[in-house]
Amino acid sequence: MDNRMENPARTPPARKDLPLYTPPMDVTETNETLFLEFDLPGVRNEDLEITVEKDALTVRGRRHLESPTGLRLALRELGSFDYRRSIRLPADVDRDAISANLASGVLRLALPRRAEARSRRIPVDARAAVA
Amino acid sequence: MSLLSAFELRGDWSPWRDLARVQREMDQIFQRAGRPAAEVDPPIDVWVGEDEAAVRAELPGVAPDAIDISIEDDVLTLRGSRKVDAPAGDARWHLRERGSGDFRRKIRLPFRVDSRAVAARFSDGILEVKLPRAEADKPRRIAVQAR
Repeated sequence: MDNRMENPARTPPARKDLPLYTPPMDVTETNETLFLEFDLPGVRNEDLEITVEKDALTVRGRRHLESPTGLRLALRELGSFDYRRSIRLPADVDRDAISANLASGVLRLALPRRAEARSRRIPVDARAAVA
Repeated sequence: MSLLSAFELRGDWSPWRDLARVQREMDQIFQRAGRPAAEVDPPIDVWVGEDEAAVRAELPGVAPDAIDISIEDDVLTLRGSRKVDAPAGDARWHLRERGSGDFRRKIRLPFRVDSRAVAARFSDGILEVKLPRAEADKPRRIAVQAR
């Protein structure tokens, strides 16, 4: 926050920069719901942020791993970093009904489709389909 | 074999580290030949001290009882299985990036471990294992008697 005071031109507010990492994602769908699942190992609830802005859904998570004291690092394959991934929301998703669950380092989002969208039938006019 | 000598990897930089990394990558390539699901072999951090080592592994979505931790002398083996199911039985898949299947990592430590005193903790998809050095493996100080 202090940085923002010193450098008002800088947006968004400065936080300590960590490398950015795009988490792997699974997407599945039933007739009623779209499911998104992300691997976010090391991210706690309080370090997770899910935002919907216009038609973009963005998942942001930070993991900060503490090192044990008094021991030498011998091998490092994990890191501390910021996870970020955005997807474009399908138009028929009910934005107010999106739910999220974080457990064991996996985030699961359920994006229900609007009821009227589910049963919508697209009428096909066979005569107009001629190119 | 994916035996990694943590012992050779101390210090901020050493050519051994790069060599060890290349060696490990090659190990993994060979290891994967007969094991199609090894994409889920977890990344690990290793720390060592005089009398204790610590290992951290990334295992998101793995049930704690699906993680098998075993010690044999100075080698720690983490193995288990990661299942990735669709949230609903009748769901159609659109994108599948998260790996699933059996995983295995072997880590050679610079000393033998007291397997009864190993403690493991799993939270937020991160496994942390503390590995105390076996008493019998600790260096013994021999007192020199002056006459």
